[in-house]
Parts: sequence; C-alpha cells; structure tokens
Amino acid sequence: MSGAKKKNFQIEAFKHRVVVDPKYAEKTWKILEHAIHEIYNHNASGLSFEELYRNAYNMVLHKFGEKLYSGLVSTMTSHLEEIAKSIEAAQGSMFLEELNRKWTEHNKALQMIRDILMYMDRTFIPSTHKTPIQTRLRDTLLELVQHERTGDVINRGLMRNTTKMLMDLGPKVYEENFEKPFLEVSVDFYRVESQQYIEHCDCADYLKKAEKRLNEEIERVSHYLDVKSEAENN
Amino acid sequence: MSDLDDIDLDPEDFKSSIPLKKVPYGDVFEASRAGDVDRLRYLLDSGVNVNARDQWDSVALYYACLAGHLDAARMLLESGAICSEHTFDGDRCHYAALNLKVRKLLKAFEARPPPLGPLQASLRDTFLACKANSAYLDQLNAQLPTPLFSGNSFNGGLSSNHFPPDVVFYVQGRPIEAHRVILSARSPFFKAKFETDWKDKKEVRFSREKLSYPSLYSLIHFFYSDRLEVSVDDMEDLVKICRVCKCQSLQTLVEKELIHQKYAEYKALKDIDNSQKRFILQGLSLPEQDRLPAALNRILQISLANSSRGQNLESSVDNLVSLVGSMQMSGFEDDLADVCVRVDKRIFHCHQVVLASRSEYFKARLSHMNDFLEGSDLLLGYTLPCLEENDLSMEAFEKMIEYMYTDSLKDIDPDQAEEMFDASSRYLLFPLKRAVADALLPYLEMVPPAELCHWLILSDMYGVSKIREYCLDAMACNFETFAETPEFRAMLLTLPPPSGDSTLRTTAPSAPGAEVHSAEGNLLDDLREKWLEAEAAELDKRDESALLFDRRLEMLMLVAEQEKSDDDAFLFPLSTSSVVMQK
Repeated sequence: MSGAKKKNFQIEAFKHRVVVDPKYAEKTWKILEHAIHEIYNHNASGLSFEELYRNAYNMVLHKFGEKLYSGLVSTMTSHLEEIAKSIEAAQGSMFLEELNRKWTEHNKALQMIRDILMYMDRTFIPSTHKTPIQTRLRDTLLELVQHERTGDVINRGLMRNTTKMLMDLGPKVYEENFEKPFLEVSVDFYRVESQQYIEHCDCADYLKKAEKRLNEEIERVSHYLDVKSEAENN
Repeated sequence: MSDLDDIDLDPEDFKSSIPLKKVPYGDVFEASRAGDVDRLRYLLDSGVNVNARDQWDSVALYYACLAGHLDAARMLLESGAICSEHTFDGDRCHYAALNLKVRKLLKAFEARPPPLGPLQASLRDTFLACKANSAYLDQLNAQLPTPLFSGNSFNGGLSSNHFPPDVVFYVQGRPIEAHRVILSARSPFFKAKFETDWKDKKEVRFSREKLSYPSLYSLIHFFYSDRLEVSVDDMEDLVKICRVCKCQSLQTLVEKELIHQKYAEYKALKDIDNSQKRFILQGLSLPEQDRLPAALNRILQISLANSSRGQNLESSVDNLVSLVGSMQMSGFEDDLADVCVRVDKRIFHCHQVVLASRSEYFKARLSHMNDFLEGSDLLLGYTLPCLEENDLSMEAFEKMIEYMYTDSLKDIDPDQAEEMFDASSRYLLFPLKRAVADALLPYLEMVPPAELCHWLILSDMYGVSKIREYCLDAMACNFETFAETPEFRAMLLTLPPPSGDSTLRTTAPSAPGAEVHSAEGNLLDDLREKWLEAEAAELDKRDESALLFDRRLEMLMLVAEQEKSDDDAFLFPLSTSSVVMQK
C-alpha cells in the first residue's frame, strides 16, 4: 500500500480485486450459504463472524447484492419449510410448545444471519423478511382462549410468547391473524352468555356476573395479549 | 424600544430596499437581533457559543424571537440553542416571541431530540438503551406535560440498541447503569475509584442519604452526551457531586447558574412551580478540553500508546506473550481497555462501549462473541478478548478509531481516502464517510480530469454522494475537456450502459427531491441529466439536446473501443495471437 504505487491512478479501482475471478460471487455465496446452514444446525461456533461479514460486504459492494438477496431468500425458505414440517408433526398442546421452541431458535438464528448480512440490510434493501404463518396457529390460540373462558387452566406464558411472535411479524399480521377472529369469537361467546344470564337471573345478579366476566377478561388480556387489543376487546 | 429606533435610524436602511440591517462587525446577539443571517452563520461556524448570555441576561435566540426573525431563530435552534419551556432562557424566548409563527418554531424544536454531534448522540443512545436509565427518563416524561425527548422510541429498539453496562450504581435504592471508560474519561474521581476500590466491582451502592439520584443521573447523562439537563432544585446537589468528582469547569458553570437562578425569579414567568424548572447546558459552553471528544481523545492517546506494535506478531507466539507480559507490567491498566483489535501487525487497545456505540458492526460483533468462532480467540496469557480485522491497514484503522473516539478527522491523505471510504462503509460509519468527503473536496479541485474519473468510480462504488455529485458536475460542465481525456473514454467502457428504460430517460427536468435523487442510479444516466442541466437548450428543445448528448456518448464509446483494442494489440500481441491459435 505504498504511496508511489497509489499515485499511479488506474481506472480499475477495485481494491480487493475480486472481479478478476469470474466465479467470485458463486464462491462467496457458497461460503455464506454454508454458514447459514451451520447457524441453523447450531454450529455457529465454528464460524468467523469477521470473515462472513467481510464476504457479504464485498458481495454487496461489487454489485452482487441481488444474488446475495435471492440466495438468502431461497435458503431461508427451505429452512422454514423444514421447520414448518417439524411443527406440523407435533400434536395437540405439544404443538404450541414445539412452535414456541422453534420460534425462539429461529429468532436467534435469524438474528445472527441478520448481523452477518448487516451491510446488505443497511444499504441494499431495507425491506424485511416475511415468514409464512399457519392458519392452524390461530385456530389453536382461539381454542385455548375458549377453554380458559370455560374454566380450564392453560399455559399463559406460552400464550404470551405466541402472541408476541405474531406481533414481531408486524402489527398487521397480528391484527389479521389473531385480533380480528379473537374479537369475533369473543363477541359471540358473550352474546350467548349474556342471553343465558338475562333469562335466568335478576338484574343485580346479572350485573355482578357481568362485572366478574369483565375483570376476568381484563386480566386475560394483560397476560397474553398485546396492549392494543385491550381497548378493542371490551 | 430603543433597539427598534436604532434600526430605523440606520442610514443604510433608507438606501436599501432590504428591510434588514446588516451588522458586519456585530456579535451573535446583534446579528440575531438584526436578523443578519450571513453574519450569524459566520459566527456560528466559527464556533461561538449559541447559549451564551449577554450583559442583559439574554441569549441570542431571545433577540431573534423578540424581533421575529424566523430564519435567524431557526439557524440558532439548529445550532443547538435551548428553547425548552421551564428553563430560564427557553421561557423567555417563548414569552418574548413576536408572533405565533415564532412560537410555533420554538415548539417544533422543543419536541425534537437535542442536536448533538454523532459521537454524543450515539453515546447518549447507548446510555439510554440501558433499561434502568430509560425507565427513569420515561418516568420523568410522564410527570411533565410536554415530552422532553423522543424517549419512548428507545423502548421499541431496546434489544437491538442495547449494549450492556459494566457497572451499576445504586443511589437511594435506584439503579443507574454506566460504562467505566466513559466515567473515567470524564472524571478523575471515577478514574481513581475504578483503579482501586471499585476495580472488580460490578455494582456500587451509595448509602449516603444525601446523595440525590436525579443529580447523579443528570451528571452521568452529561458524561455521555455532553448535555446537562437538571431540574433547578437539584442543582445544589449537583454542585456537590461535581466537587467530589472533580469536574471543575462544570461545577463553576453550575454554581454561576445557581446564583443567576436566585435572582432570576423576577425575570421568569411565575406560573411554573419550582420543581418543574430546569436548567439545560450544552457541552459547547465548556472549555474545549472539558468536552466529551477531548476526554475520549485522552483515553484514546493512552490506549494507542499501549497498543503494541512490532514484528513480534509475525515471529513466535512466545515472543508475543513476553511482549504482552511486559506491557502488563508497565501499567497498561491505565487505559481501561476491555477489548483488543488486531489489525495488520498491530494490536489496538480499544473500549467496547465506544466501538459498539459508534458502529453497529462492532456492536453485533461484540455481542456475538460467544456465538461465533471468535469467542475462543483469546491470546495466550492475554486477559482481554481479541478481535481480528483483515483487509485493512493499521493506519486506516487508527484514523478510524480516532474518528470514533473524537468525531474529528485530522489531515487525511488523499491516498488514504479510498481505504477510509472502504472502512467507513464496511463498519457502517456513515458520518465518517461524509467527513472524509469533506476533507477530500478541496483536494479534488486541483486534480487532473483523469484522476477525477477515478474518484467518480470510487464514490459511486462506496456511495459517497457528495464526491459523486462533484465529479459529475465537473464532467458535465467541462464535457469536451473530459471527452479528450483517454481515461474518461476508457471509463465509459467500464460503466454499465445507460439504461434503456424510457421512464428514466424522460428529458423533462425532475422535480427537486423526486425519487430520481434518492435512488442513485446509473452513472451515465446521471451524467446525462447533469449535462442537460448545464448545457441543454430551453425546455422545448431538451429532447434534441439529449439526442445530441446520446450521440456524442456513443461516438466516444466507439473511440474508446477502438483505443482499447489498439492497446490490447500493443500490450499483448502474443497473448491475443495465442488465443487466436487456440480457437
């Protein structure tokens, strides 16, 4: 890196001289792809953050950002499909637990991948990833709420995490997949119940019962729903 | 008011149609009062303290508001003038505002986060990203009717913004989270304590009832951000703490303000009770050696002196260990470094909190120490974790950390600029890129066209828009000179061809701020746009002008093509013939 050499300006300005190698992008992407697999297999301790980041940075710098991005999308998709399969396999209440575990793992892996590809994230595209969500998840959640309303005990921490997961995917996803149906189901449930009460009880009793339900509902909301739902629920 | 009479009587006013008086020799107060923005800009650029008071106890902003000079007031506010309600100066500005427009301007700036330098702002973010600290601030905000800061935004990004503290203070049972190196840099008291009593402590509990939490909090907040914000009631406690912490100049200033506040009653609005009254001080009011960049610079200099350099790294590990050992002997604790960065042949002593605050790359890297390979990358006998950075010269790294610690960049060699651009994009230090570009611009005015081509390519690659714009402007304005330069023609060949997209190729001038500017596109398209701006005929003839340019470019490319094949034939007559033979 001597001054004399640099004075002699070249039009070809690439310092890292990667363009000389036409297979550069291919090779680098292979390294990064391998790294992503390793991260998902919990083998990240064998990887060098600095090297991976540098590779990703150079790819974007030399205009291979598009390749990197599409490669990432396809790799992530295949991983997510795998995860989805293993979650599908779980049954009953195990389903949510499995989902929760996988979600935590996935989050951690994603964070590491994001950090490695941070340069792309900042300069190439500020867009975010979208993860497929099963409608099954929503149904299970609603079922659980129904169970609790009728007196069963459920794992509230689990519920909290799952709803948080939906929130993480963006307020819109949360709204569409959980909040709307949740509110609809709630309305139905309480309409039926209030009808029953009105038929069976006198006025004071009815009010008492209604108040109890209302308190229960507030507590439930604070436990595992996003704050926003609270106002809309009651 | 006699001030207004002054303006009316000025002979210049009678001659000039411009109603504003010019005060070419005026100070910041006169310039603000007269609304002489040129003079004001000059004064602010030369580093005058915007929040200083004159002998009438008034700040410059007060005069600008009083006289209704919106542009001057705005300029002052953008340079960090304090306008928050419930402060002495801020209240007076609100009170004196000539009309509602001025008040509106003040309100708008009050809601903004304080204008801080990149260094102060990023350290402040780090401080507030600590849970305990942001909790206190939120609590404060909840009490006050108007939000002080955009404090709530920190909650959302807590996990991503968070860099763990290495020491927690408990005062009156409440925690303040902090980083040793920042406190040590700012206060000799903390430095001494961290070297002795608190050396291995993660937690320090103050049991003295007298020590007030809000005062200490505001002092530590000041250590990070160079901005003091304290309620008037806590100022006396703050003076005491400053005395203990040996923050001489800050203590003097706060004491002075205390006396001022005592007599300020009659000058301020009465309807605010004392507990809400605050005092805000910008670091600019302190002498330079007591500001944050200077403090961190001292730490940096010690660390650099401790950073080992030499060929030992190349030879044997034994040698290295002995070297490290000897360094430990010679008091390397001085610098409080908590991480080493190995670049090229040198090991730099650095501070995690500074690196992480300034660069997201380092934040991610330091937080993933255990997840990746580097976690196990400890040097033998070396107590500090060590990072290794490749593809970077130690000179460039030194310049970079100098910038990270002090926000300043001294004498950048143009030869170094390219590497600095590389480093600043790689480590996501975008302000550094701008700083290098600023340092480089005067140099570019003297370079030959051929070299300018080189810089254009570079700035396009690293996304340095300022340099890129400059080069394109120069090329568009002197197109024929460049057309005669072989390097320019050669460059044309290496660039991607102008886009064929007809929506982009419209010859109508784009509206300022339209999306064309935000997305930097094809270099040749941009050059064409610039050329049209500089050379083209009136609007209705732009299409013809554009066609002219396109044809000229095509021709130049043909020439370049020709030259290239000539060159190749001249340079590699053998290789080309061998290719032919292979075929």
